[in-house]
Amino acid sequence: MKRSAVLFVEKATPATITEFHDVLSNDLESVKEKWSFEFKTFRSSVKNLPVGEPKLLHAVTFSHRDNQSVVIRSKSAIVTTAQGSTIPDDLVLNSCSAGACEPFDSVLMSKLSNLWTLRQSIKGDFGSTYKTTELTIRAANIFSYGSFKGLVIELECEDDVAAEEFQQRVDKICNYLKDISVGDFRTCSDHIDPSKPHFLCDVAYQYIRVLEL
Amino acid sequence: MVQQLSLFSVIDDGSYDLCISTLSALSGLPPIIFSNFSMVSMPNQSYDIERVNSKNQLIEQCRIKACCPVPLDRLLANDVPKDYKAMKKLQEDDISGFDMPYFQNLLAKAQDPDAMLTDDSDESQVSWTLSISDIPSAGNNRKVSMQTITESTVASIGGTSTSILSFLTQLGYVQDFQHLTAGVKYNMSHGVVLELSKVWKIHDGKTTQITKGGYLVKAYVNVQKGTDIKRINRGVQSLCALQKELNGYIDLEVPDRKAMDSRIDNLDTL
Repeated sequence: MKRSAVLFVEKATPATITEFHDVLSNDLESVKEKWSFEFKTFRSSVKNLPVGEPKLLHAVTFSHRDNQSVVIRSKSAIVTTAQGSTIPDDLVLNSCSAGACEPFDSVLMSKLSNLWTLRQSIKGDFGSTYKTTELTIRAANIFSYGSFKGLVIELECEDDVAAEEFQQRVDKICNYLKDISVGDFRTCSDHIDPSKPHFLCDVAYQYIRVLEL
Repeated sequence: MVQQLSLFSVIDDGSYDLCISTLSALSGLPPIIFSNFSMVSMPNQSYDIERVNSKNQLIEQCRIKACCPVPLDRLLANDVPKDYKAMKKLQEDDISGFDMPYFQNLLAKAQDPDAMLTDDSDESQVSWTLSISDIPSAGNNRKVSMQTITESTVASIGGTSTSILSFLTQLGYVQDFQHLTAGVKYNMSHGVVLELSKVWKIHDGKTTQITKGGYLVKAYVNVQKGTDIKRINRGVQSLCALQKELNGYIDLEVPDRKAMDSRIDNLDTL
């Protein structure tokens, strides 16, 4: 089972990512492709929303995972594809799909904008991917409408390791961050539903947990 | 956003065989059998939803259709060969091999491993198309119906409940009605698709055929971009050419645009 964790360093400076690269350099196997992600927060426009219902809905789009988007509200999530070529054949053959598809967040912004209002858009563009023997580490400086917000680090482990072993690997990265004294950071490696692991939804859930205060 | 250009007609049950041989000869290809299940949902009426968004633009409240493919063995008994002739077994309200628990499971809860659509053992891998259709364009002298469809493909579902219904509930939508479509289709020349289908309404665990005694005929062209005038014009031409060719046999016509309106204020026509 693939495992993941997401870290967010709020007090970082734009140069922290270079320092992070330096402390990692002893472990680096290779430096991989650039990546980016987009994190959108939508707020419900329903006026009489029952008390206690979450007002927010999130959409996370990953460029490095075929531009797939995950849309989540209170532990219910869907993964939508963005390219026509990735529509499953049985949908087209059975006349379910007309052959074009949009990521669901753009449907939210157009057809459902009376129900959901875009409140915030956070982007991490042109991030770096590092590969060590233990983890794939993706780091990116994130911006919200042009202003710097901090550093996001996504850890992915493709080996089939136990939760404890994975946690040790994550702790190692946390210790590196402490070494470069970046101050406090948030980390999350939870599953959206521990009984039903779903890699992509879990990653998106972790982004929400660290980025949403 | 897809532009769907379409023309509709009907044929009766008795002319099915002849129609299949005519169309097979015309297209030069054998018919493709298909079936899908749709769950149409509408905004939760207990919510107070504004008609305008934060930019003060008017947004109509539309239904969302969730559609997924249906394996034919959920409709037809095992001994029925799965070819175009199988459609002739589907002329009544009841469907012989109809697997109701399967459809209830599709929506309500995670599927049991036996009912998988794919060999993949991951139970959240049933894919769905979510689509929102606008009312077809207005105009008196339109040659074909032209409708904008916004759609999104759900590759998988995660979270505590891996059902599409629970996600739509989170979105603020509730179930409105369900229907099942089964039929054959032909890929004609110039991107025209011709479908002969039967439609059942599913209500309280029962199926009621809406197309009793006949088949719905739909000829359509999907143009991927609404701004692609060249392709739209070519699509209109191809549909009109087919209409001319079948004239007197199957009279393809422009449907009433109000019948194709998915907005919730349009309750009386649905």
